[in-house]
Amino acid sequence: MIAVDQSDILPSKVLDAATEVSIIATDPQGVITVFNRGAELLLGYSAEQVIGKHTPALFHLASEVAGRSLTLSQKYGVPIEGFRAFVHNPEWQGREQRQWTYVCADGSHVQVSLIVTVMRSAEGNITGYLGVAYDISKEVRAYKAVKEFRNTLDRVHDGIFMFRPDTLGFIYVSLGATLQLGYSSEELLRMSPLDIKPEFTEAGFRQRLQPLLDGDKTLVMFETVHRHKDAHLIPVEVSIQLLSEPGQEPLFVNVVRDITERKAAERVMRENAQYTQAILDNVIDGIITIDSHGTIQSINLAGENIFRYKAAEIVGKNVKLLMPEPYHSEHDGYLQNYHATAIPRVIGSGREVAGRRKDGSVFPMDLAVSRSVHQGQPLFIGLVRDITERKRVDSMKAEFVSTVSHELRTPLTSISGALGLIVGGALGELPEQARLMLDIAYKNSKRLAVLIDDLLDMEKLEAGKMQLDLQVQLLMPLVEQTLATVSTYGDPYQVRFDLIERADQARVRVDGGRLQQVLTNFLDNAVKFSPSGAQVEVAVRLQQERVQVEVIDHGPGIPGEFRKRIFQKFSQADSSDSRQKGGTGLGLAISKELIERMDGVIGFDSEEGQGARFYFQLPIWQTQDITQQSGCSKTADCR
Amino acid sequence: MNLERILYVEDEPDIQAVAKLALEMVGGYQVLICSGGQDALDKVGGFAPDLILLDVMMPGMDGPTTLQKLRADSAAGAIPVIFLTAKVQASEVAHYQALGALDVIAKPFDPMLLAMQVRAIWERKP
Repeated sequence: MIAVDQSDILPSKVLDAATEVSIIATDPQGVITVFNRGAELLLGYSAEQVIGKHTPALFHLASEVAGRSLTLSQKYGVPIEGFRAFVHNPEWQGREQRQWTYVCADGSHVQVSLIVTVMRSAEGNITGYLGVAYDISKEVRAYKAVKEFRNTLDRVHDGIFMFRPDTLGFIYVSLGATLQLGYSSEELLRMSPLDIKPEFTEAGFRQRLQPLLDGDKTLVMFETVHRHKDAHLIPVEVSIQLLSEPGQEPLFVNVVRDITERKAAERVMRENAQYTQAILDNVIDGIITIDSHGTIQSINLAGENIFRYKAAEIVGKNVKLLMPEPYHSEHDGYLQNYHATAIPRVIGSGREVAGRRKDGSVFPMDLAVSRSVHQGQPLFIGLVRDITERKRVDSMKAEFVSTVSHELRTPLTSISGALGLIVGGALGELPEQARLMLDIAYKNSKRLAVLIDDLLDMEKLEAGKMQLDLQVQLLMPLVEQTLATVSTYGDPYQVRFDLIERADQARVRVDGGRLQQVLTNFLDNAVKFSPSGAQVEVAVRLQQERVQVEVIDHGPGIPGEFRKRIFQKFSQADSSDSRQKGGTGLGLAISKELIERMDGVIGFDSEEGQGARFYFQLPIWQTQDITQQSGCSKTADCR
Repeated sequence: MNLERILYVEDEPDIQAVAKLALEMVGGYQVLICSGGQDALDKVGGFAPDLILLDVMMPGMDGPTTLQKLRADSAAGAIPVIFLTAKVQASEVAHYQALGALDVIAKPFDPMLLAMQVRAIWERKP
């Protein structure tokens, strides 16, 4: 404990010389006895104003004194209040240094570091207290500023590190940095960037920093990994700047962003892209995307194989590159039309066009184009299938069917002809049993001929090789000739044909033979499915600009489940029908194709158990239509 | 001029026999069979037919070539020709007619009607 004699320690000259320090002395009760020049300058009071007054009420914050009093009272278990809050500890410890707020004469506050010392007599009695105070406002403000700055940095999610250029040792790490790496700030402050960057040697890291030191760059950014305290690696994005204030040591400020999520998202996106690309590359069809100017944006592996270009060779080039003439020259016109009207010409599926390979060879392909929007811009997606092989197979098939059919007809002509002569009586009368058997053989040879005709017709229609001899002519003679030809069809079943309505003036543009083939097919079916003794009605009705030919039977009608596929190839209501009723299941499919080639429509109405009505409609040709027709050739597209 | 003598050019023996019989027995015509185009060119002068029935698909010389060669022959050039063939697409028929054929009868034919069909066509000749 330091004993201070007031008269010894406080010569007035010394006190007044200490203008940088506030020195205030009190008696044991707290009444001010000394107030030096430094105190006057600091607090704005003159010594005369305050000597004899009681401290601390004069220049201390009541709230601060009350807070200190409460702390001490709780600590020592006795009430300690007012002036005692300043001297209680010094009395026990000899002196106490604490930060206080002085309230100046003008009301302003000054932060001070106050050292309170107990003054005692030679006998050890307390003679007073000495308070020596230093203005620490600047330090406090600076400390607060630093604290606020650190708090701000700590609120930043990114890790912020500062390190020295010479030793590379960290001199500051933010809360975010400790959270990122799992180390405490104390641990990190004993480390350097090299301890957390496993991908860098010191030389390599310094090489990265050199442009900042040389002034060539103000910022260095790179991606690397940081090693967490538990040894797992964290992908990070690092930004380093050099802070260089005049008169101060330069510092590197390193902002580190954890990009684990971004990397994971990028990986997912990359994997998704790879997945999509894998699908695109494994589809059999070529997929080409182009923008609205015809520039190729992408092509998949199948597309590369089809056109024999590598993607790098054609991406960015115009899609005309893949087109032979005349498509090549016409394509700019398509695009101009698209830009003018916003109506793309080739959108849709199933167009057969020609493509051009890198070597200039031309091949047939199916093209389907759809429109999409990518990043606000129209994008056209072309689906391309090389149909060279399919065409070759189709051609082989057509050739095969044609050859086989011809080869079948040759012996059939002999069989049918020979049987026809015998059955027709040209060779004389036959025994009844023999005639019956030869009738069967002859009838079936004719059926076989019909089957071959149907197969050939179907093949021709599918191959687009069926040529129709379209002529404008009266419809009724064709209907009547057909009825005459098939008049005996119904005899075995006592089925009669009855023409119940006519349209004698109706002219149609048809291939007469083919129209009769369709009507014969309708009538043949009607007979097959009519009950014995029934009537089959034929009606030719005018319907505005069309004429409709109907064949109405009173058979069992068309089963519901069969109606959708009745015009499909090889369609029969059930498998037993072909044996029971005869036929290939091609008749209606052929009829539909033929009628449609003649600009007509084919259809039926039926209720099960109520019979069926099959019909076809054809456009009626007027005199002026015939005049127009005279100027064109006899082809199906002449109208 | 009556239709009495028919030269039938066909490479298939069975069809030759059936058609010959049909034309002779049902139609009452006199029929000479030739097994190919060259055979027909060789025999047409000697037989002097009123009409030639001509198959299309034949080995060696096919029907249209035979017709062209007949047309080039001053003696046989005016004899009417009908094709009897399985190849009866519209374009094919038009081609035969362009070569100067009267018409076409499709195979397989009805033997009881063949003679009648032949006569009907023959009577339409200019």
